[in-house]
Amino acid sequence: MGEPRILRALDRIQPLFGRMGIDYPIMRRILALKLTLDRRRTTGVAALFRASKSGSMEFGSGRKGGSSLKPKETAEDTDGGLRRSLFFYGLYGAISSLFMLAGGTYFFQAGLILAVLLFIMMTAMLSDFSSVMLDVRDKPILHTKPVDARTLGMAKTLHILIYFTQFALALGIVPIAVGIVKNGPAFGLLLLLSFVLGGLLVAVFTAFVYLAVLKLFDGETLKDMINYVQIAMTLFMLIGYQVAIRAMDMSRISDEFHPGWWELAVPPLWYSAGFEWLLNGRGEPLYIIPALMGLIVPLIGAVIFFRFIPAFERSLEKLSGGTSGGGRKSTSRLNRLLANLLCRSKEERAFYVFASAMLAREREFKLKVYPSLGFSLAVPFIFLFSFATAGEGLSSIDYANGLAYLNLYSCAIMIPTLVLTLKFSGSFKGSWIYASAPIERLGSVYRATLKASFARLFFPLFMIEAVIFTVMFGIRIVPDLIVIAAVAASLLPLTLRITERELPFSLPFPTSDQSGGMKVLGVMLLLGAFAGIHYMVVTAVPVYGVWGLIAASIALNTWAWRDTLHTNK
Amino acid sequence: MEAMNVEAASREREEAVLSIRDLRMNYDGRYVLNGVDLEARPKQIIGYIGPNGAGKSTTIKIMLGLVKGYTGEVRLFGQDIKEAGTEYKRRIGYVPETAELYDSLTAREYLTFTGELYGLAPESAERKAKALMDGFGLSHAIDSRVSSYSKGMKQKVLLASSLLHDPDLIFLDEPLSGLDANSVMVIKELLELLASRGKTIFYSSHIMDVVEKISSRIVLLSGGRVAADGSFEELRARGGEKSLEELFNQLTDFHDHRIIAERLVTALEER
Repeated sequence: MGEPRILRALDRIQPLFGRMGIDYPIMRRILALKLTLDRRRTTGVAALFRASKSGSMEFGSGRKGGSSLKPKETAEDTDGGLRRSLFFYGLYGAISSLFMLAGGTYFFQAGLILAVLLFIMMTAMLSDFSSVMLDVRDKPILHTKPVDARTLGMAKTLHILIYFTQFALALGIVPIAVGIVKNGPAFGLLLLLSFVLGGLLVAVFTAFVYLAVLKLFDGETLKDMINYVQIAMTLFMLIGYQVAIRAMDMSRISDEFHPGWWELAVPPLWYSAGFEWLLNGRGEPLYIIPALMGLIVPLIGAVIFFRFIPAFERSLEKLSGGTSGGGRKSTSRLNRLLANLLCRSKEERAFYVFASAMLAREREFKLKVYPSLGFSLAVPFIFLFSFATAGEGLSSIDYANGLAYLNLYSCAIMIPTLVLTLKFSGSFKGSWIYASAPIERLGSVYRATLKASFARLFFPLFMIEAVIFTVMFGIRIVPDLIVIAAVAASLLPLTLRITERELPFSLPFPTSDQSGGMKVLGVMLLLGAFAGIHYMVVTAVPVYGVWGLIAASIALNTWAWRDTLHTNK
Repeated sequence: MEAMNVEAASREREEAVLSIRDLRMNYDGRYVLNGVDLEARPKQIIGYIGPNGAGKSTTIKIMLGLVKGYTGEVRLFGQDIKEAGTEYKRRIGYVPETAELYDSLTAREYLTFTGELYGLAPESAERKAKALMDGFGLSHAIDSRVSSYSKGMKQKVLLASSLLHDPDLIFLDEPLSGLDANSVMVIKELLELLASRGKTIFYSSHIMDVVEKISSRIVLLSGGRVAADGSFEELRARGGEKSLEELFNQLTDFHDHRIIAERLVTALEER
């Protein structure tokens, strides 16, 4: 892979930069570097689809010859990250274009597709784009070199522009093509224009959100916020597609759609108003004013933002510092209490508290795992509704006697991903402590970490689901819920048995996605099998069967946690 | 050594906190350690010096059990570490060369955790962590993430984590890096006090005047072997040089610094 083509395109207009007083060769160099960095970065959206590293390193072998102190080699696919995430954005765009197939007025079609695309952009902007916009390394590396501010500013602007265009193109290409085929070239062109302006609006809005958060809070808050946006993004994807598929039926009704003023406060509808005005010739102020707003607001926003850039750069300094204390003692007391409750040996307790803190604090870890938490939260309901709509609709579920609550098993599909991520850490080099400390049994390290991840990540989530399901299906399902929780708990050590074992937090996060998907799939099949057994037993032995299952699942746990975690050390 | 009778040798080795015999280590066919012999007794502060890549860190890592696959014999507290299990590590403290630690934790969390790993009860580990952080003048930062610390602050956390469990044998790999002059004074004083209380300190550094002042004994490693071993006075009497730095140059057979510097300047001035 040589230089990005975009640089050669820029070379053509090189004189233009010269006239603007920009040192072109240097700007080009900085830009090339930034583009290379982009290609090597794992992006948020790609992280949703990552699985484990497929290395065959058995536990223990990694420690021979002192390699435990050295960063382990991870195969780096230099291009993978960016390409892959662009591919997924393309996919999102393609799926979103289903909205247009639903038909209806231009106003309705364009409004719907733009709402979806702009929302995706928004979330992507907050999660992925942040690393481009909020790069704190610029300061110590670039600002100390003799490069003038104008050149630097242009490099940064162009970089953001290129990144943004790349990803907007990936997202927009399919919907625009669909628009042209379905509604003609004028529609497609207008969609493209709306998309560009809307994108700019989103970018400016995001930048102001960052600015506000940085001004009001500190860098840590902003970084945490990005985590939550990721969860929201996953949830949106999952629920959005369910809605999208169903929207095909319901939207046909709304042929005679008359917007009220309040609806025109929503940005995507500004653009769809433009469609009515320009393509259907409806020159009422109700359509013209919003359409013009769609043009003017992003442009003015961009101008204001460029005024604010110095203030923005100043606030960025908060990102590199950011000390905040307090509020940590109470959680650590809770961790200590749970440690005493769940672990027997002193060693295990120490590791439990350690792992709990790591799970709660490690930003990179959260970035990888939290999306799958969001996924787990949504999946049981999606399953439930899918089964329902396959039949007679939601009302057809037999809440009083049915077995549909067994869909809750799907909540545990996060566990394999979770277990496989436990071995990674941003500060993996700190793992020398495992070797230099007198650890009696390494088994307790695994056991404690698994217990902590169950208690801190899975269990709270499961409780939320369990409460909702109990409200829906009645108190009768509580014994079944116990079985489900126990089966989920046994999956943690079982996943570790199936996959290769590495000390927790001892490996760097892989820079690009590497799939060990088969093993994850194996664990998921196991989960499916457990659910199947549960179904059969409860069907065959209606009342007492579940008590047998409770006994069996407890036995399974005893075996899995004791035997699987034995290490020969 | 050969002349010494076997009985006397074994008596001596019982007292030794640390004793290494013919230690060899090779990485991918290249010998990093080429037969190191070394002994250390309580109350000694041993300055362990040598050029980059001489095998200093490797020796320390072998003694900690971080590196396996060596040949020769390593005894700590009279036990061969190949047979000793992990219990002996309880009496060792270690500050690694680079400040690598789980820095998304707060200092309180990290220190309590490491203290517990060395067998302290959580409450006493936390109490000691607090006291050490106070002592290092970091009590205000104890509940902040270590990732927000400066290099010197991180170094203090590492020092605290190596001392928390009151070890008998302390390995320090560049322990003063990033510390300000006042903190350096504190650490020097601390090491002397610890040594006078019967601890053994194994101190590895590239800063020769610190080593010269602090060490009761200096061991120079070069090419994977011990090239010199003795007090600073003994070494000086043998080599006839004025400072440890000059002695270091002489023993590692390095006299080209002037020529190399000149060559570098020439390269800079090239147009």
